[in-house]
Amino acid sequence: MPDDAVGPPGSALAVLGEIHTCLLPSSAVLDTPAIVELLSGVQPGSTITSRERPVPLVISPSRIEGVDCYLIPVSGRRIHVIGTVASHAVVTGGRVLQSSSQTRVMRSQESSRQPWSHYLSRPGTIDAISRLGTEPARRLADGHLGSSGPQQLDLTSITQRMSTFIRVDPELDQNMPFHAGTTRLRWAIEVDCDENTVPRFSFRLDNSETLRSVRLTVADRDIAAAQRFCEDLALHDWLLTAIGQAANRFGPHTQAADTVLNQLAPVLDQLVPLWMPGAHTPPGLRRPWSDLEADPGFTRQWTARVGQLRDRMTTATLQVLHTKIPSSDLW
Amino acid sequence: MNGDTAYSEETERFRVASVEFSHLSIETGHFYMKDLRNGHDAIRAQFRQVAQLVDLHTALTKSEFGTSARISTCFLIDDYFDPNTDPAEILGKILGIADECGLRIDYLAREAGCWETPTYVDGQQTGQQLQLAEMVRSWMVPEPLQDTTGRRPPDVASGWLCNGRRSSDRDLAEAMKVVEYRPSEELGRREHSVFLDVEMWNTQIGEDGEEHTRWSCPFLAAIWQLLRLGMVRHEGRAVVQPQPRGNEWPESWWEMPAVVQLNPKAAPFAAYRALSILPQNYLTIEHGVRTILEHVRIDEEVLTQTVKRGAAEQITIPQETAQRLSHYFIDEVIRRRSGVPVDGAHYAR
Repeated sequence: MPDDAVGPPGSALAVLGEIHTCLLPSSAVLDTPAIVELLSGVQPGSTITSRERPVPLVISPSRIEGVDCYLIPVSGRRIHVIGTVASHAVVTGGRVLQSSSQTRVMRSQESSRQPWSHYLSRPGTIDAISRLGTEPARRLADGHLGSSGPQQLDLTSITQRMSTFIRVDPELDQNMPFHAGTTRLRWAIEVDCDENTVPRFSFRLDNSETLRSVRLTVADRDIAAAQRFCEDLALHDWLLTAIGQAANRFGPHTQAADTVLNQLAPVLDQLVPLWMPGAHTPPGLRRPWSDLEADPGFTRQWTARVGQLRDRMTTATLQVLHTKIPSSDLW
Repeated sequence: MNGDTAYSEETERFRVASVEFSHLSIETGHFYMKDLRNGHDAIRAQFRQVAQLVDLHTALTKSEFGTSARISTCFLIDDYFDPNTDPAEILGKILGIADECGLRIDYLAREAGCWETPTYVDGQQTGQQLQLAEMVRSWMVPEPLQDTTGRRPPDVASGWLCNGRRSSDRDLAEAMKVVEYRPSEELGRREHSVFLDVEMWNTQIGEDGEEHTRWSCPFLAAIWQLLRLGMVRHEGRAVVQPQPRGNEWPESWWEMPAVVQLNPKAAPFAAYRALSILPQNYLTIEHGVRTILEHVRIDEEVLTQTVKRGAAEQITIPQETAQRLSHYFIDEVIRRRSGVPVDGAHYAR
């Protein structure tokens, strides 16, 4: 495909993003007003979005920062970009914190740097100054999910800073009721200039503990929905990972029964209600969810893990009861 | 899926209060407080010129947007850098001379109101101050130099903002190694640089021994321009709510609203376009103001709303704030009226 055949001017070629998901460092589940207060520092003055159903969700406004660096496409020459990356924080169920950064790669109308106000007036976009070559959207999306280099756009650091900004808030007591790691989900959207394109999607576990990659092809109008879909997917992938870690930690015979009860109860109490795949995904992107349910079967795995932990709880409860109830010989 | 079913929640949508817009807001001159304390003639000389320029720009705006074009005028009092003055005395003088010169001032604003501004609910002061300067500071997005990948956090803490890259002197001090001198450069320049480094704030130790932030004149003036352009909201609410003039002026500036509406029939305070008519020694400050505005990120919802509002009136509002701002720097050539001596002028008697 020739260089100039991809989308009209002003439309994005590709969208690159990253999401870090972790437990909010607080002993209790926080209510929506407390979360709104917590997220109000992200971009003071701007309004916060929240939903109560089916599970409380609070999304901060975005904060942006400037970048002037390179994107490394999967093939061809590196591409010089200037613009901004937008980051925001999402808290689900008053318990799970996500920091999410993204930027849309645009074809620059000029071959040189523009006054800064030009970039600021289009927050969360980067202009590609260099020549793009053929099929830039595909190569950029694939490149983002590949290796990283020193002069390359570093969404990991930007996303990490947003996460740290929230986590160190003095309102959070830093006492987590159970341990759960942080997962990173990198995502890339190839924007298809055909407005009627049906979203195409792939999901990969790069590293079983922490790193995942999502690759999407969507039409321009579905970009915002696709971003939200990635956050919803990252949340559910994290829930699966966290409950898997809990299941491994509390395998049979590994702990004293009352420790198991104390630590497993909050895992089940606080995480199980959050499992609602697709609940916060806009309608246009619900199909990838049904695909994921078919293979690998997200909810199947979740149900199995939850069942396993409940069995473990039951066993531990019986053990505790057994040690506390006097033996039947005495009756 | 049933196409007739729609679920939504109130807080899901952004709620950004809309503000009314004039076509043009004209800032009618400016003085440092010390100039206001001194004689009348300098004020009179400036206001005479300003009054004519207001007439001229009013006519221009009406020829562009029709005879019902909305035009408001405003004047900013420098009460941040010299707060220990008597409002009644200063305002009596300014408004008296403006009246005498045929200069209509619709709104009177306080510069300290750009630092912290009193908040109102239904016209009643809540007693709470909104830390406006602090909020706008958080909206600053520094321009990235080459090889800014996002790995390091952006440097905004210094209180200085430049329109490019500082010379290698700073690198030398940091690295203690000899490299060839590299001059400062402006980013996004055409060929040669006009490098500007603006001090936005510094930190001072107060009499109480506490550190506090002292905001610079260009930074507060940048906020002033943002307010005039209707670009500031706090959690969706309008920040400036012009209050009617009371029967008498309070004893201190801080008891006054941030913006007082002097003319009950005035067109809205905020405007699509803002013109500042200023003495020429404010040129450097306004250059600083523009540079700051070019680094302030405006809430998209506020901007979109303004653009839509303009579009409904067949007016194209640019996305870039500074492009809605213009200046007129008045010179100091004054035609002497026969027989009237000018204060402080040294001429042969």
